[in-house]
Amino acid sequence: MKILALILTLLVLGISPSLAGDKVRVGLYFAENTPPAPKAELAPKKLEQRLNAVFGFTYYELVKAQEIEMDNEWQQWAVPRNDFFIRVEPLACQPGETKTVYYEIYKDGFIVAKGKYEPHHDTPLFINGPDFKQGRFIFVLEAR
Amino acid sequence: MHDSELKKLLLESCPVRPGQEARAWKALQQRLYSSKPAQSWWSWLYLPVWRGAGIALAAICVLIFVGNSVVMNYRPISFASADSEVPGIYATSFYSHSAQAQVVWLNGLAPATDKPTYLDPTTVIHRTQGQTKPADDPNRL
Repeated sequence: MKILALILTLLVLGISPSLAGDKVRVGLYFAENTPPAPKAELAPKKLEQRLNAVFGFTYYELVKAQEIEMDNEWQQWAVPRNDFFIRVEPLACQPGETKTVYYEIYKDGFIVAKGKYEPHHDTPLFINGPDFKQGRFIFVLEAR
Repeated sequence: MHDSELKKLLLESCPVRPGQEARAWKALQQRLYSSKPAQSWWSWLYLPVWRGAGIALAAICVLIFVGNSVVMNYRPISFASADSEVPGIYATSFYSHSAQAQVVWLNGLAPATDKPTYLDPTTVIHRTQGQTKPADDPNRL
């Protein structure tokens, strides 16, 4: 019985991380290889490793972050810069369905790309942005 | 020699004493049915016992858990799509197994600059006193 209880607990733990959260954190990171200022807020270690696996930069400095409410089914903007920002809109869904957000990427005031994203815990979305000086801007969308 | 003659000869040479046959049969029955058969430790594999059922259930649960973990780790549990809206800019979405993340890759974007860029004048937000702006990058808010 103890073994069965342990297995059932592990099963529950194995499935639960796939459930989506109620908020999406939208963060703009500046990726670079030169060390940032000492006061700069860097990405958490795990996120840094993941970003490094895709983009290959050494440092990922958080420019600005904000949280998007998934229950508010209207457009919400994350504007960390004048020339590069994102519009996010949680789409309506039936109870039990996976929540999806619609996003639009703006560069210099004009839309350049759009798409959809299903936020899941532990599966962030990285959006490769424009180069800047010796680095690059990257949007990171994470379920909270 | 006929069978009857042979039986008669055997009875004369080896007579069965009264009750001997019944005692032999009784002893044989005791040996056959009263003693437990020797079972190996692996007999639960092919004999229907509760121990085998419990172990089989545990094995099925472990298989489900391992299968679930493998599928969850391999298959992307999220979905992302991307479409370009501007000629010359290409948007690609894919799942990175090494980073365990969805990636949208935009090719053809002009580099960002620290010089003033297009922004509709009506949407310019004037900074109030106390708000500071990074000196090196006017586009950073």
